[in-house]
Amino acid sequence: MEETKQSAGTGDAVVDGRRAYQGYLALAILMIIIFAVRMSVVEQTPYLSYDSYLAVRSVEHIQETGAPLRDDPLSVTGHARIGNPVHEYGLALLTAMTPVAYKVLPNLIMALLLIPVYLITRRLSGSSFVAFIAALLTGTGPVLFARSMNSVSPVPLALLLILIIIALLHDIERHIFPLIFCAIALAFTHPLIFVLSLSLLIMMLLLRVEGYGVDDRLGELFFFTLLLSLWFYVLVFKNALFEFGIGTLWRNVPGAYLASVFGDISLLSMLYGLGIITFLFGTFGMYHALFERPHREAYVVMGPVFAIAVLIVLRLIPIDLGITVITPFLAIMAAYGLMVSVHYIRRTKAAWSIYPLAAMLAVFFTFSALLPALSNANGELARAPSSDQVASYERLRDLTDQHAVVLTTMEEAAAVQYFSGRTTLTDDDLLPVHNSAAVMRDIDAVYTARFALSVAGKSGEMGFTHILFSEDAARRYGRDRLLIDDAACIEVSDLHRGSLLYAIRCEEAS
Amino acid sequence: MAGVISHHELEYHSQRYAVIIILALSLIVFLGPLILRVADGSPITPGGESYTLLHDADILLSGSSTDTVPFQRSVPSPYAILLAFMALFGVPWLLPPLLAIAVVMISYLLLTATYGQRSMALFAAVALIISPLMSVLATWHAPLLLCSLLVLGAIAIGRFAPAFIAAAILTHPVGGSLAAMAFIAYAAYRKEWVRSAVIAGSSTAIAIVTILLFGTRPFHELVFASWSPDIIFELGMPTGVSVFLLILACYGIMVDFTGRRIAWFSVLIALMLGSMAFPSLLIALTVIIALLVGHAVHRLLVVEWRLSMLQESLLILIGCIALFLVITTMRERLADDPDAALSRTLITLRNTERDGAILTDPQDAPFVRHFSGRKPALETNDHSDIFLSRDAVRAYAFMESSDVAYVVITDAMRDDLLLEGEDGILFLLQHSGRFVPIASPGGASVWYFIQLERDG
Repeated sequence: MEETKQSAGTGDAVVDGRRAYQGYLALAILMIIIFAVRMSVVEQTPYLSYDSYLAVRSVEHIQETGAPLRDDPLSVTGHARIGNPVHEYGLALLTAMTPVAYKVLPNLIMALLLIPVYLITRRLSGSSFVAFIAALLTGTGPVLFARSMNSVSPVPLALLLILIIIALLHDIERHIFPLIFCAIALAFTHPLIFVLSLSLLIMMLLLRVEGYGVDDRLGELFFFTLLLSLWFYVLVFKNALFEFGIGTLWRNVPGAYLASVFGDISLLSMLYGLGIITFLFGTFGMYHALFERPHREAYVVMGPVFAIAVLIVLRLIPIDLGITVITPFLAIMAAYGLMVSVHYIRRTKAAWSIYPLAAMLAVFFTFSALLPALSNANGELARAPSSDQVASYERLRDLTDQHAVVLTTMEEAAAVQYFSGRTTLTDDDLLPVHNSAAVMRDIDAVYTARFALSVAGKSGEMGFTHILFSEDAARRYGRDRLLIDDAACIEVSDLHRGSLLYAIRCEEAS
Repeated sequence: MAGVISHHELEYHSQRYAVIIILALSLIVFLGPLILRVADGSPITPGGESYTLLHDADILLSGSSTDTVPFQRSVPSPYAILLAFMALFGVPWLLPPLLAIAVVMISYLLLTATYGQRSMALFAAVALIISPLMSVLATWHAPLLLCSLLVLGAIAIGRFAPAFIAAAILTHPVGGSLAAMAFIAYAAYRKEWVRSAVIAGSSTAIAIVTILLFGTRPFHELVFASWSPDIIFELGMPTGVSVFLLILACYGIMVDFTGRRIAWFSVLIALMLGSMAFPSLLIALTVIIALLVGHAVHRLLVVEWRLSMLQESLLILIGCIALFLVITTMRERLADDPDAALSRTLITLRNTERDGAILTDPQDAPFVRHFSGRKPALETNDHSDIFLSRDAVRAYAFMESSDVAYVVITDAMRDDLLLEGEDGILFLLQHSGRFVPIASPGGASVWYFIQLERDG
C-alpha cells in the first residue's frame, strides 16, 4: 500500500516537474515573441522619441566629461537642469559599448518583466498555465506594450525592480540581501520607489485587517526605503521643491496644461489602457481574494494595485505611467480571477461550456488587447521625429548662426537641440523654468498670432530669434504655417517638405 | 533584545554629555548662520519682522514718545522692551539665540522629568534644535519664541501658570491665547475647576488689556486670514515642519505608544490642521514632533531590528538627514533679507540731505525704516502696481502725495515686481527727466525724485 502511494507521489512529482518545465519553456517563447515584436516595431525608425533626446544629450555629456548635463547651453529656460542622473550614468556605460543599447535595453527589460509576473502568479495560483496567462496579459497590455518601446526611460527598470521585490517578499528571510539590493537600486533609479513604499504600507494594512501576522521585517524594509528614497529625492530636487513646492510633483506643469500632460482619467481610458479582460477579471480576482476567500499571497499583489489606483485618482502620477505600473499586478489578479471562474464553472452543469468560452475569450482578447497594443505601438512610433523632420532640423543648423534662439513646440525642442545643435527657447523639462505658465502661454500666443507686431514683441520679451514651424506644430495648432500678416521684418525659409523657419529681423529693420 | 547600544549605557552617556551636546549643537546651529551672515557682509539679523521690532526698541532707547518714522504700533511689545535692554549692551542680535537655547534646555529638562529617560529627552532636544522653525526663531527677532518660553515656564512651574500665560498673551496675543485655551482644556480634563477658572479669567483680562493696548491688529490673524496649507519645510515653507522629522515622529508613535497610537496621531493631525489656520501653532507642532522623534531614535538605538543591517544603515541615514537639515536651514538664513547690497544702499540714504520717503518693494519697508531712518512710501502691496504703471501722471501724483524723495530698485524687485525689459516705472526712471540717478555703494539702483513743488 505504502509502496503504491510512494510510487504515485514520485509520479506526481515527475508530472509537476514536466509541467513546470513546459511552463518555463512557454514563458521563454512568449518573452522572445514579445521582445521580437517590440524590436521589429522600433526598428521601423532609426530615431528615438522626441523626449528621449534630452537624456541622450545628458548621456553623451557624461561620456565626454564624466558629469551629467546640468548647465545646458542649448535651452534658454532650462539652462539649469535638475534631475536624477543615476539612470543616465548606467546608460552611459552601456551605450559606450553599443548605441543599439538605447533601443534594445528598454525592450529587453520589458520582456524580462514577464519572469517575476510568472513566478508571482505561480505561487499565488499553484498553476503554470495560470502563470502563463498572467505573463501573456502583462506582455500584451495595450499601454504597457507600447510604453518605453522607443524612448530612453528608467521606468522599465524601475518596474522590473518593483516586480522582483514583490516576488521575493514571500520569503524575506531567504531573500533578504537581494531584497535590500533591489530596494536601494530602485530608490536611486526612479521615484516609483514611493509607489513601492505605499504598496508595502497598504499590504501591511490589508494583512493586519485580515488577521494575518505581519512580518516585522516588512515594516523595517518599508521604513528604511521610505526614508532613504525621500532623502535622496529631496536632495536631487531640492531647488525645485523649494521654488515650486508641491508643484514639483507635477513637474512644474501649469494647472491649465496638466490634463494634456498627465492625461484625464476615465473608465474608458482605463479599460482601453489595461485591456478589458485584464480589467474585468483583475477586479473580479481582487473581489474574490478580499471578500470570498482571503488569500495572503493575493494581498501582496493587491498592495501595489491599490497604491497606484490612489496615485492615479489623486493625479500624482501621469495616467499612462500609472496604467503601465498597474498592468502586471492587475494581470496577475486577472489570471487568478480567470482560474477562480473556471473552477466555478467546472462545478456547475455548464462545465461543457468552458472550451467554447475560452475560444470566445481568445477572440475577445485579440480585439481588446492585441490590436490596441499594436495600435499604441504605432502611436509610439509617431512620437519619434520623421526623417523629413530630422532633415529640417539639420537644414535649420545650416541656416542659422550658433547664437540663434529657436522657438519650437515643447515636444520637439529636445530633438531640435540634438539634431541642429541650436538653442531653443524651452523644452519639455519644465522643472528649471521659473514661470512655466507664462512661457507655455506665450508659446501658444506666438503660434496662433495674427499680427507680425505681436510676434516681434514676444521675440523681444522672450529673447528668441527664429520660429520653427514643423509637422509637429502643424499637427498641434491645426494649420500649415503661421497666420501672421505679411511682414517685411519676418523672413520665411522653407526648411524641408513644409517645415518653415521664420527669422525675426524686426529690431534690425527698426 | 539589545539594539545598537543598551538602554543603560545610553542613559549613562546621556547623563554625562547631554547638556554639553545640547549647548554645543545649539551654538553651532543658532549662531552659525549669524556668523556666516557677518562674513558675507550682510546685516547680522535676518528677517523683516526683526527690523520692525528693532525699530520699536530704538524708539524705546531714544526715550522719545513720538515715532520719528511713524508706524502702526503705539505701544511696544514686551519683546521690544527685552530687545531694547539687550541693545543697551550692544548685542540685540544675541536675544533670539539665547531665548532659543533657553527653550531647548527647558524642553529637555521637562522631558527628562516627565519620561525619566535622559537619552530620549536628548534626542528630542536635538530634533528641536535642527528643526527648520527653530532655525528661523533662533535668528529672527520674533515674540513667538518668548511666548513659547513663557508657556514652557507655565508648564514647569504650575503654581504660576496663570501669570506665565498672561505674560505669554501680552507677548504674542495669538500664541498666548491658544496656549491659554490648551491649559484651560487640560485643567478641565483633570477636573481642576478652580485652576481652570483662574487661567480663563486672567487670560480673558489680559486679552482685553492687550486689545486695548495694541488695537485689534494682532487679532486679525485669528480670523483665518493666514490660512495656508503649506506647512512642510521641504515644499518651500521656511517655517514649516520637516517631512523627515514628521515621518520619524510617526515611527515614534508606532513603536513607542502602543495603545495610545490613535490619540497621538489625532494630536499630530489636529496640530497640523491647526497650524494651517494659526501659524503660531507650528511651534507646538514642532515641539510635539521633536518629542516623538526623540522616542523614535531612542527605540531605534536600543531595540534590535530583525534586519540589523538596515537598522545601522538607517541610523547613518538619520545622521545624514540631520546634517542636510542643518546645512539647508543655514543656507536659507544666509539668503534671508536684508542682504549686504540693500542695507548699504539704505544706510547711505540715511545721511543724504533731502528729506522724504523711499519708494521700494513693500517687503523691504522695515529695512527702509531701520537702516535709512526714513519712511517707506509703500508698506503693503496695495499700491505696488505703481511699479507697473505706464501712466506717468498717476505715478507722479502718487509719489508727490507720498513725499517720495528716493526710488530704490533691487535685483529681487526686477525678478518679481517689475516688468521685463524697460517698461513700467523703469521706463519713467530713465526717460522722464524727473529722476536723477545716484551712485550707490550697494548693488541696488537709486534715483532721486524731483518734486515740482519742493524742488521747483
